[in-house]
Amino acid sequence: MNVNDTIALMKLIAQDIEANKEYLTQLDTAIGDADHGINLSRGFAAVLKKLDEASFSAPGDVLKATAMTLISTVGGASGPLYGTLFLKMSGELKADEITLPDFCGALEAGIQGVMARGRSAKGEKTMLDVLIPVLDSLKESAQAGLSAKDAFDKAALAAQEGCEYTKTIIATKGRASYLGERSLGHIDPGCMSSCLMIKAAAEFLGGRR
Amino acid sequence: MVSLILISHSPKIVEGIKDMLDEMAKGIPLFVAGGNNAGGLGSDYELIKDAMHKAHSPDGVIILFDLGSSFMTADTVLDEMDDAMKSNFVVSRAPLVEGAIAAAIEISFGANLEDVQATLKEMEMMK
Ligand SMILES: [Mg+2]
Repeated sequence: MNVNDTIALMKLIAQDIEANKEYLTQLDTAIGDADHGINLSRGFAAVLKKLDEASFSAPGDVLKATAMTLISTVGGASGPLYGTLFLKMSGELKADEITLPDFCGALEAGIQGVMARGRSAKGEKTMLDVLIPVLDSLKESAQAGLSAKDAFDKAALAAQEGCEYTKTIIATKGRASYLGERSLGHIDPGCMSSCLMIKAAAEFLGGRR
Repeated sequence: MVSLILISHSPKIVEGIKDMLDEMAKGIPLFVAGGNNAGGLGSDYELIKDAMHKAHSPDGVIILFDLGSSFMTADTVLDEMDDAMKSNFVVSRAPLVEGAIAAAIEISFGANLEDVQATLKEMEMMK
């Protein structure tokens, strides 16, 4: 993945977030404050604008611009959380080409950032319940020598499983935590938006443009 | 004087608390940031950052907030500050309304950062 690939992928992600705006908001209506889709769509619309206006020399620069734009435009918890994720990732992606092991290292740093920002861990019904299994899956694939495409196809399945898993657990972080046991049976909206991003990456590697 | 910042998802909440504080502790350095940048409920990074930079005082700054993203946005702004500036800020988990009144009264009588912090510490809750 070079800088142009990273821009193209970020545009696909923005497109998918916009297309799933209602669905994400619907998930957040069930257990949150009904703004996840609206907030992320506002944020990624601003990202699209930024990507068209500015010029970038490395994949990390694209992620950094995405991070700063999300932080200043999203307006909900997903702003500082995705902002921190992409910002920490950008710090690890200084080279012109991203390899699968590079991406794993960056995602690991991003996840650490999200955990610190949200004072959260796995199993609390947050985006971490997708991001952590995705990282584990990608690391395993990298070790097994799989191609980036095959690795992301597997990771997309792990992401989907992560979403389904959040139906079985009680939220202990964020707005959904006020629902206690009543949060059972619902997918965490942040998990679903993370899942959409991983799926977009898998599809991009599979040739979607 | 210690500065006080109130952050809420709702502009009406912080404006309402400000009205209450004006009755009891008028003239303290008080800064509020409510709502998102689209005029709705949520958090506005620029507004919160602006309040934090305006509130910055060598005597210290207390931040009170309501929920998740109010805190996380302020925390993001703190991460961008240098250590010297950052060390002037205290984020408290005291309830927003009660904490604001307790802090404002202490500040209006000239309490230092440690004293205000100690008062708020006793009021902390799960957030
Ligand atoms: Mg929400």
